[in-house]
Amino acid sequence: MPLTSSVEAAQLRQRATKLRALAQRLNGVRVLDCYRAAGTDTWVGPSPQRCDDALRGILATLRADADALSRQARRFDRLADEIDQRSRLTGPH
Amino acid sequence: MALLAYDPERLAYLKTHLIAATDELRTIRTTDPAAAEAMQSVATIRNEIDQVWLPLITRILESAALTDTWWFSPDIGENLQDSLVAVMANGYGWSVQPDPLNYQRTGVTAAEARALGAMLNQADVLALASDREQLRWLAQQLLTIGQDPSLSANFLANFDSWPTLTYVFGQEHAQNDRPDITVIFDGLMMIWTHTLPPDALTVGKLATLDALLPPIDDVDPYVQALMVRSLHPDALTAATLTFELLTRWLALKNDWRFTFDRPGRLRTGTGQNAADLLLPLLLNDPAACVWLSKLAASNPAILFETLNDPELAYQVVLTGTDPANTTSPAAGQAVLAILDYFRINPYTRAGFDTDGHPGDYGQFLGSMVAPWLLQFTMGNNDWPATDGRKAALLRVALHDEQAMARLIADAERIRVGFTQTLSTYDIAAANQVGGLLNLLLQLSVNERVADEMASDDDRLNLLWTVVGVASAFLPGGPLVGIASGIALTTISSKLNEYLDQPDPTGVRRSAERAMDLALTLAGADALSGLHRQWVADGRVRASHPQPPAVQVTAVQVPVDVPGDDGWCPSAEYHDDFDQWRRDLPGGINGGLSRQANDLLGAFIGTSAAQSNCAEIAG
Repeated sequence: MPLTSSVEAAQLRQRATKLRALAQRLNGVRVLDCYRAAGTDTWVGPSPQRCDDALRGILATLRADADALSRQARRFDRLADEIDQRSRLTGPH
Repeated sequence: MALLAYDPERLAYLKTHLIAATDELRTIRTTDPAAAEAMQSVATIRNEIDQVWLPLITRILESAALTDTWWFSPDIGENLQDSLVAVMANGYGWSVQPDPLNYQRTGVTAAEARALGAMLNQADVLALASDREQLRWLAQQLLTIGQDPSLSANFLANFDSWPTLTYVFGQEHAQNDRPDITVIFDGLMMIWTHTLPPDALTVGKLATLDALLPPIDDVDPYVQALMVRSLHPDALTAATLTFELLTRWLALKNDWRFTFDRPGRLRTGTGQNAADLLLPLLLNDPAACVWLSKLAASNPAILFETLNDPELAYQVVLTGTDPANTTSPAAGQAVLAILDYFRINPYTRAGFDTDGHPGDYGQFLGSMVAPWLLQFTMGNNDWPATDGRKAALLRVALHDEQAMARLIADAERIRVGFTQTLSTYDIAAANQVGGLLNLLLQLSVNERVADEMASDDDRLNLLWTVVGVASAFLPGGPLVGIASGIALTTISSKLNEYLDQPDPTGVRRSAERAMDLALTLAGADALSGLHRQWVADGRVRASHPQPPAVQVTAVQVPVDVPGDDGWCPSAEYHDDFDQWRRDLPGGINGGLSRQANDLLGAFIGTSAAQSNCAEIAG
């Protein structure tokens, strides 16, 4: 159904836009920089070392999540394009 | 209890930063299921900060604020365990308090590794060496750091006390042989290993101390030995380093210089020397023993004047010159040099003291030459030495009673040497064996003349040992008669009794006659073996007369061995032999006759004894 296909493609593009925005946000949150303030210039000892390790782990986790969101956004865009292409090939009724 | 040091202002900033970060995370929302995983991460992160790290930081900051003073241990600065905290408190004026989470960590952080390195630079190492509990802790820390290249780099970035630390600990080890000091060296060198190229500990013959050890001016060789041992190089590398180290050790010793393990004339060191630490590293690797034996050929004192326990050097040389591990020329280089070293009574050498160890070297020399007896003979050209020098050096080994006893008992080692050198059942083998018997007997004659009272029958016993072993290689196979002949035992005993007379000229003549008789017996038995082989091969009939026997029996010996009557066993036997071989198929000029003549000629007919004997016989 051309009309339905068009709506579906638009919805996918909308979701892709939001996911891309979320990824961008995750890449810029303040918590990513916290490890800079938690190193041996600030405190030392077993617990501080664990805290430092944890904050560096957060950095890696959020970066990976942001990458995954971006990939998913690209998949949605591609799907939307395929839907539009199929719609053009079948033509208006 | 774990301690925690911090900069209050920076920690407060971290707290503010984390609060802002979690506030921000709370604003992140989405309902798209495709973002569920990311949102789960966000929630987890927010919870961890809210429930773990912010409460911890708040507690630390409030604790200081409540007391208005920062907790400070009076022991800080004296206890290595708190070195990290000490560095932060004393060096930076930070606050210190117990870690609220009180982790019982066994690991080491990069900061702790750096701090430990710095603290060791200023530690009272003498006090530390006597504090066994702290040493145990230090050893554990060093080993933990040493397992991690990054931690090791952090430690070494601050640690620059190699000279002091290794000097004090090395001296303590030399005096008290403490295993806990060894573990400290293990830890330090494990850390140091990370600064070396990957193959540094396996470079073998190319190894140098400078390339492998931390640079320390005028380092004591004993300290170097401890460091090399703790580096755990492969055995060939250890052998190369050992030679370099002991060369310097010996130079210091000869210069009456102080080393930990050679404290000087007024003090007697009884513990391990540097060499005692190093040589055990080689013993399980024959190639390393071969290499050190070869190196030591240039200066055998390296092996015999550096050890507290000379047995270690003996084991290295015996392994390094064993036919199973090396070639004849390589073994010859070491064997000849070592015999040359022992040519002078080693106890007359200033350096040959063994810290009270008995240092009996006779058995060692006997074992060392056992597999190489043939290489001392004229007919063997394996070793680049004149016949005279070879004979003189073999005499060095045979001069010692214990060496003789070892050789007699070591028939298997002699057999191994023969196996390496001789082709079985070859006339050339008979020639070499005959040459060896001649050499041994000539040495025996000389020895008896040099010491009229030498009445022991060790040298004749050695002869029987050699004959017994060698006969397996002779044409005709094993010598049954010699190996098991009761007459021979009686003969040697009676001859010794007879030879025990205080007259040098008489002794020489008698000893030469004994030699002539012994060689004749061996030759006759070899002929018997050859004859048995001919019969077995069908080359002569079974009814064909056997080769003549030497006309000496237990009954005849005391009667038939007079002092100066011209009795000459080999001459008499030759007459009988010539008669016998005329009747061989082909006659006296036939192939069998020539073969028999060659075999007998290997035993009698070449030595000075025969000519002497011929003179006696007129």
